[in-house]
Amino acid sequence: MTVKYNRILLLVCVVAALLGCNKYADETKVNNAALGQTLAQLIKETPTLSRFNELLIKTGFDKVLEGSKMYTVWAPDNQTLQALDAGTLNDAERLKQFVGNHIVNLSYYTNTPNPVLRIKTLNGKYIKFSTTQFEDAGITSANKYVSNGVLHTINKLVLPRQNVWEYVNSTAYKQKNYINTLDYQAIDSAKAVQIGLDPVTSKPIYQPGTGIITRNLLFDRIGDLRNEDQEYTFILLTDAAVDAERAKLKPYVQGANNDETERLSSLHVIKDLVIKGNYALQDLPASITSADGVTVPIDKTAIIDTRTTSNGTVYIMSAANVKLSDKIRPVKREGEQPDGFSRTDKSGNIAYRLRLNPLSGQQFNDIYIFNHKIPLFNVRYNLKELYKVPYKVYWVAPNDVQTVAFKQRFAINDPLSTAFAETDVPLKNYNQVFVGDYVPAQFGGVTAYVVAANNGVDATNSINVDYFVLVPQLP
Amino acid sequence: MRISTPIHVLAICGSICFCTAANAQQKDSTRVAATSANKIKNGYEVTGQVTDAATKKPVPGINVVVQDIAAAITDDKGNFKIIVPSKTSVLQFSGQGFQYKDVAVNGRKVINASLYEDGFTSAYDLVTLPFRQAPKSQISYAVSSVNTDGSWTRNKETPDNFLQGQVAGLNVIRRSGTPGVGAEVFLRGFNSLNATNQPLYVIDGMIYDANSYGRSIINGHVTNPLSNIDIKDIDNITVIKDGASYYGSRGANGVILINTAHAKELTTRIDFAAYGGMNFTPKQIPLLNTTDYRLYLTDVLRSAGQTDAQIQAQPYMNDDPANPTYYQYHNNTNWQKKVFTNSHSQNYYLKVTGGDNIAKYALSVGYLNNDGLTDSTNLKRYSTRFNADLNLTPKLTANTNLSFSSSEQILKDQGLTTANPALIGLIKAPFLSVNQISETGVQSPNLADVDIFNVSNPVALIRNAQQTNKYYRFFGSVKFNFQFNKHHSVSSLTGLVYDKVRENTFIPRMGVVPDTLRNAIAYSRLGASIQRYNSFYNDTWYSYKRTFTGEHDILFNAGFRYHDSESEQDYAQGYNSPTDDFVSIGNGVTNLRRLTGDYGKWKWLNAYAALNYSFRSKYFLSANLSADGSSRFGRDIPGALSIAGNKYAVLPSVAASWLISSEKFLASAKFIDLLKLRASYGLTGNDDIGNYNTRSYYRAQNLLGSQGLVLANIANPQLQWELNKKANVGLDVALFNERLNLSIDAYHNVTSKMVTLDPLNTAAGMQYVVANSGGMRTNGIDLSLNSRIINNAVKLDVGLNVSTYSNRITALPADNLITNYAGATMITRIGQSTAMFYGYKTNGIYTSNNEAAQVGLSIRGTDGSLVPFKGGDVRFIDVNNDKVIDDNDRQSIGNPNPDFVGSFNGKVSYKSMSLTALFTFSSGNDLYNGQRAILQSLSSPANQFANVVNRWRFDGQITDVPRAAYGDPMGNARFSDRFIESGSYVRLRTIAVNYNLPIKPKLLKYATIYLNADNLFTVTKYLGYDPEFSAGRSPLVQGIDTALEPQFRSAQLGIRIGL
Repeated sequence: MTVKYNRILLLVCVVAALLGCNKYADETKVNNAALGQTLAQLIKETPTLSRFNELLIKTGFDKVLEGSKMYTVWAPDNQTLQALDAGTLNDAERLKQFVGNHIVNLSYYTNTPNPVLRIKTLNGKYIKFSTTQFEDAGITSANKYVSNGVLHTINKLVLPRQNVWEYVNSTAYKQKNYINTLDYQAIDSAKAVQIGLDPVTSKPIYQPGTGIITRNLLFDRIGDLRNEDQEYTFILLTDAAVDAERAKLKPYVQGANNDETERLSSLHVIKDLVIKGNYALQDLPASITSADGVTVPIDKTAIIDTRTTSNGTVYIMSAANVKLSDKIRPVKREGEQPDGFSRTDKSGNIAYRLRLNPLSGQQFNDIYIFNHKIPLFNVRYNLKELYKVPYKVYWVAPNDVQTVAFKQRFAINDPLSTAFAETDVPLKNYNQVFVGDYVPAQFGGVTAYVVAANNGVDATNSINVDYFVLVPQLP
Repeated sequence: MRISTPIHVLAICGSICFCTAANAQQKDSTRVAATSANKIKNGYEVTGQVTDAATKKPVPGINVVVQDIAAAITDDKGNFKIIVPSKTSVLQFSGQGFQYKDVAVNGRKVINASLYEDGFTSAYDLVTLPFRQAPKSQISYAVSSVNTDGSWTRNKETPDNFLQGQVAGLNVIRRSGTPGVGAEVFLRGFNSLNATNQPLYVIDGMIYDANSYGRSIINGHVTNPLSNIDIKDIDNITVIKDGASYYGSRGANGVILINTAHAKELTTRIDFAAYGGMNFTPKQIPLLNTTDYRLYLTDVLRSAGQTDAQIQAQPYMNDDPANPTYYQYHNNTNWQKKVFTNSHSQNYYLKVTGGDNIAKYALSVGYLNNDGLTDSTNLKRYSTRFNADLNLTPKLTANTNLSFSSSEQILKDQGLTTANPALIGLIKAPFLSVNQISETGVQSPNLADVDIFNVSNPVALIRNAQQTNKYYRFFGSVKFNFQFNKHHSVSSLTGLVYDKVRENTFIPRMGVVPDTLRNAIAYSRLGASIQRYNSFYNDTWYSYKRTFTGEHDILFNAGFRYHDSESEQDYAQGYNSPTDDFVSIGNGVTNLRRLTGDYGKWKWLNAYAALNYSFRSKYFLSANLSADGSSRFGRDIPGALSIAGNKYAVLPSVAASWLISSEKFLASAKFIDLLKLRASYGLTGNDDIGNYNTRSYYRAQNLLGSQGLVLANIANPQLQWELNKKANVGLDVALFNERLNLSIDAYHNVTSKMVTLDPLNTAAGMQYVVANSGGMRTNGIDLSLNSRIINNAVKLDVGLNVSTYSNRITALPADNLITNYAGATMITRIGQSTAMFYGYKTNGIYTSNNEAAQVGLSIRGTDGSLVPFKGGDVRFIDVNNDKVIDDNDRQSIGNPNPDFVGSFNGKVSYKSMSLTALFTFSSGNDLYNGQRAILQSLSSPANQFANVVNRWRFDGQITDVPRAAYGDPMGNARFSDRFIESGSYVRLRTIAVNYNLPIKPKLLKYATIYLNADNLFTVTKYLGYDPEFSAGRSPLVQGIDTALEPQFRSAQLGIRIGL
């Protein structure tokens, strides 16, 4: 009987082999055992990473590393993790921050950085990865890849760093307080609760008290120092130095009231002490230029301390003596970039031109408004900030295509104001022409106008501006 | 049009001849029925016994005949006695339920014959040829005959599919798994590059044009005229493989004669059959699962230059269930399952035969309903046939063969297009779902739209795309035969074909990626097409048949055929109907509508003469001659026969055979039943040279909105038929009382004057002119072997058909011809086979950047700079050692021609039960897996083949799958041997069991149950769904997998009852 059964069994096997023979089995099998594993499994099975594995389980990151996304893990080995303080170990939130600091999305091998990569970790902070180092930890075992990423082992604790603002805010320097005074309340319509529409303007009406967020004038201007995605070089002045700078600037930033003057002086001092991009100490130049074009001299001997943060470097300096002339600079405005006109129906008479200066051989752009037939037609330019300092106004008005000269007038805030006299615009004059003087009553923005002659006659009521410039008259 | 005049004249002449003959018939009428038995002087007496080969028992009632001279019947002990005219006479044995057999007397006094049952594959099987029916042993040409035996177990097959594996030398490649779509049939390899390679089909004596004129507007579909023939209506099929010149300039690819069944007896017989079956989905192609797919996606997006933040911002990377798109992107859908479904088939068939002395009829109706593999595709076919045989007067007989068949098929796009649901089902991201899903995970009944990767929803195509093909064909002929006397007769067959295909398509906008037109985006696509083909056919011939002194047999036929055909296709394409509810062509945007068409009209006249002569039924000689005129031929063909300015193709052939076993010196070799040597040489032609290439014509051209005519070609008045010379040598052997039958043929086919597209100088204003500048030859061997292994109550027959050919190009207008099709590149070069795959050879993957740098190969960027290969790129072989991989590094990487094709078959029968099996195989052919080229391109978010988990990711990783690289900048997925695979396979093509139920004869005559299965298993290493497919009929596109519907397994149960 057994023989018979064996034969039947054999037959069944042959048939099954024939029918079930899977031509794909060979082709699709994983050709590397590692590719059948996940990072979670790999870490679990690596004895020297058992402590890290415990932390993964404790923080729930083990589930993440089982997932179908690519990760890179820099795992501190057991010996290294012994140095982890009990405070972090026992604080779930801090522990999560700590563990998350070792995991990033996507796979990075040690041959990827060239020379250094800055990668965002799962806790939102950035780390630096070079071919041999993870932040300041050495990589002892590299490039163990599995199906969903790669594992490196490191030999030093890498704790999450503070960012620039977290650090600055943790100090006792006055500069921190000055930045905090720049906070203001605003409404974020996305967060506010809409309760209706204004029947007249059709604008949404929000429920009072909703959607109010705190913003900061400094961050509005130079970027949010809490943003981990942006690196900064930040100069934190000592109290004396920051006050000296504020005092120096205060007369020129007179606001509507004293509070405003205080705030403006803080803002205008500090805004130039931050630049985007991270300069290491050795790379720090003799002066840096802020986003507003202000040159800040860097005296390396004045650097008291250097702090590396997760999004940049903070230099604590005893002095950053910005020259007033660097701070309060001429305000130049190109004629061909107006903010508006007195009428909106004359676009056919407005030419934005690219011309050649036959004397210098240079090309220039200007605005030329002609044959508009409107007496006192004007073109408008909004000037954002004028310091409270006397300015001299000049313009260049080439008048290079007409056969007759004309007159035009400069005005500030009121186009009908005759504070500036009508100025001749002679033929083919490519030089800067003095237009008049202007002294702002206080710090702030103004509107400048270039106004045509008070007639409707073609050619004699043209407007032509290459640029105009307000040059501060500093003592 | 001038060419038609003389053809008309000849046609009229023929009709006149026929009329004259009809008048002449009145005079001598009575001698026809007279037999001349028992009048032999100096006769020679032969006695013997006839036994059943299986049971060894004597068989009574067997007719023993010497053709036209003597006859006898075996008595109840199986004995017979007959006086034969000479010692060289041949005895013919036949009887109900038994095989037909010839035995040469060969000087013997006693001849014992043992006969096998009817249906036994024998060397004496009757073969139907154009003018006669003769035992295969008496035919000098290389022919194969297939007795369909009712085809009750293969009821769903089309005739072309049915022929697969039945005939040595006939390579039948089924086009796809779509029901009714048929097969590419190549007889003895290829004979032409640009003209047809399809054999000529002649059904019931009339040419059956099996070309489909025009193209289907449903991508990947081919309207198959042969699907109109219900396989159960066919009685027998004869394949003429060598240059018999029966059909002159249309016979270059061989001739397949199909004869439909006529009533065999007068009693009324009613056959009814009903079948029901299941079609099964094929084994799925393994793809990446959702986990591996998302990991792959990360890699490919990263290679596209996306940053970590951009990748993490993709909605499908967000694993937070609170995210509004979480449920939309966290599914696990097996798209292949959504596209291919198991489905059903049904088939009913009724046939009534009977009649009386004056009229016999065979009437059949059939209904087939076969669902396709792709969900909601289906074929419904209704077919009717009326075959009648009428004895109008004792001398005048008539036969009619009238068939009408109509089908309606619901289809989906196939092939490498964005509207092929099967292809989309492979590349669609598995984490998406069929339906829309709300933020909270609630599934809507509405289908999901085009996805984030710009891939259609295959289910939207399946449910909402409408693609139908309605097809009917009337094919009918009436044949009159007037028998003047025993020797002379005149016949005339006149037939008509009326054929119409109507197609309507609608691709919806919802869920389907829009197409880009030259001046618009096509959101929804609408189409309508009408193809018409009609023809008139007449074949009129005179026949002379005589036996002299019992030793010389002469059959002479002469006549002519006239075939007048017309085809037309008109189709319209429209775009952007207002909503998906407007599906007909008129709803498209007016200024995007396109109307196009095609028209052809051609005439063919063939005058022929055929002589068959045999001496002592031992030496056979056949000679044929045909002279063909065609409206397609040029008027200035050098050296051609010219009549009234028209050129004629004069094509003779000759064949001789020697029945060695009838010679005296073999009379004593009892184990030899038959030994026959055959040789033939013939000229045939191929008239598929285009209807109007010999004349210059204009076509419509739109230029900036105004319509005009432009010259479309350069006329070539010297353009002629392709000439195909065929030489064949064959040997037929039957041994051990026919227990072993062997037939072997060697052939040498030479095509000259092959039609080519000769490139022209730019100044000509045309790219090419059609000319006869090519040449090709094909050599090969066909072998068929049949054997009865067990011969008692249990009978076991096995058979083998195998054929091999080698094809060489001998002349081309240029050194080589490079053609591209569906991503593949083929080279046709003098001295090589047609259409060798021409691409890059590879040697693995660079394991590291260092290794790649050491090898130092680059590609040329679009700006001309050199871009070096890196780790993870494919290591292409630099043929010319210039360190740059470019077109010059291509080489032959595969041959789509098989080394061997053929079949095994087996049949076991025991009492009322029998089991038949047919295995088909193909060996040594290479295939280009175009589908896998997409699934292993690693260059887009398309889902990939499962082994893409092994892709190269890390310096030093040893693997065989390249890195993921968006857009494939290094061309890793270019046409290379990575995607060339062996197409060898062995398939259990069909297996069938039938069982005759024991029934009371009063109620029913008989009842039989059939259980059969197709494609039950296929042994292959090919990584696509199936290694058998054909993207087109040209030899230049064979072996290219363009994602057509694969072959699938099916099984069915049927019952047939006889009343």
